[in-house]
Amino acid sequence: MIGKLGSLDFWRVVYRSFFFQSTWNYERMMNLGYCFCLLPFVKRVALDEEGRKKIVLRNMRFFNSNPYLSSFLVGVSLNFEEKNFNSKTGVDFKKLERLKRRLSESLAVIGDQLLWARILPLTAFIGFTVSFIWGILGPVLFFLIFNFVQIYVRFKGVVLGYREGENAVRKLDFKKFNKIAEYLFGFGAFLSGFVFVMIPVSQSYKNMPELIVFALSAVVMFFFLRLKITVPVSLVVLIFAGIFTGAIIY
Amino acid sequence: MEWNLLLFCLIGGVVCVDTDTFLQSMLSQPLIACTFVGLLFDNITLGLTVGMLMQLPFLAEIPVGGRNMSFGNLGAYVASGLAIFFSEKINGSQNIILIAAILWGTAISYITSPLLKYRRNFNLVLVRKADQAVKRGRLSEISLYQYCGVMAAFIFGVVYCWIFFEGGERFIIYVMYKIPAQMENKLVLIKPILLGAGIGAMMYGFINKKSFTLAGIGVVAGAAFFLLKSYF
Repeated sequence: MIGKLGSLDFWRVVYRSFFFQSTWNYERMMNLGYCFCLLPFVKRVALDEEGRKKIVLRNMRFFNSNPYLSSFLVGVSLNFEEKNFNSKTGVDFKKLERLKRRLSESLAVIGDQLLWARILPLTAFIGFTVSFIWGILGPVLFFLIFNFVQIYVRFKGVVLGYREGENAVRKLDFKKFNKIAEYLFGFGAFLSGFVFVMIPVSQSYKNMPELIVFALSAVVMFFFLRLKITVPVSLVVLIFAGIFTGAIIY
Repeated sequence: MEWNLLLFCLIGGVVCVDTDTFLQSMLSQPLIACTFVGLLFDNITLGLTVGMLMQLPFLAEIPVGGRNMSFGNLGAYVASGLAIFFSEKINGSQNIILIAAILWGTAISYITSPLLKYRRNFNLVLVRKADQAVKRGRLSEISLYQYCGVMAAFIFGVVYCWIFFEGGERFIIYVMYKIPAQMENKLVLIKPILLGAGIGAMMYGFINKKSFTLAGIGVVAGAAFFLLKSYF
């Protein structure tokens, strides 16, 4: 073995993990992105061309998970490949396949729940709220907070996956993830209420129609989404309703 | 800076890439992308306004797995470009321009959703080529195909941006021709409606039976905060 992976190598994986979805396809989804993350390390864990080809082919199979948390699985794969290189008897790669399948599903659920459904809307909402008060600072804050979280998650994921290997699943505290998601959900609800009051006040809606239209469109949008009506259709309906209401009132 | 369609379309390519292909740093989100367009073409207030109006509603759709969803990012980006472009040229029809640009942006978000299928099918061609390269022992070609995926998304983004901007220009001219200028004052409800829709989308994402009390506390806290602020 040439040597254990250092922090520079982990950052290389983090950089490559940004490409996870570059060739997303309906057949094998993120398979090429996953393989691309492992590529720089293939030379270190296989000395001959046939061995390298085997590793790549092993990782070209179907893979789909959350793009932010997938670096964790790349870490686990690196651990297995390194162990395989060091051991005389080899490693049971069926175990890795099972682990990958199980973890990719769990990580997809956690990642979608935590990053797509909680952290992204919440950071955007914070940015939106700040924009009302300090203008351009809102988008800057949104960008900084979200990227701090996503880079932390990617880096921490690959380090943890690589260090723990097949024990990685035990190190993942799913209850903790659920708890964080719950807190974020609560904070999002609080912020929704706060901004619901803040907008009419800061926009100084002095006349009643604007205030009523604002509150009504919030309620209507809420119910449209609950009825599974898509966002563009809901928006078009609300905009036309606003045009007609304006034409009648003013 | 004066309006530059080429620069606008190139940044549109970056928006398309950041949306779902590379980085996903949220540079492509309406709040950031539209503000950037405003900053670049000297109308930051309008850029930020379009960004704020179009940011929240589209957060209600989560890009889970291979789901085909409406992409508000490119739509909002083109809408902000159109609004800035026309507000530079025409005075006094701000609300008409804003409504037409946002309607066009919303339509784009709807149209680009099925178009995503073509890009993903193109990605499959790249994956098949990568398979063949691996069989021949050319492992480094995987990186090449991966970068090709990013490049393809960029080119798609530039082309979409150009087509939708040109189409949007005609659409807004048509709308302005059809809607009399006296209507301008009757369209003041557009901002409260879109802001309300945004809050509605957030409520949909964050409010359920469990968190309803917290939303109520938020309303009370907001009211108390602004009462105190006006008092002092």
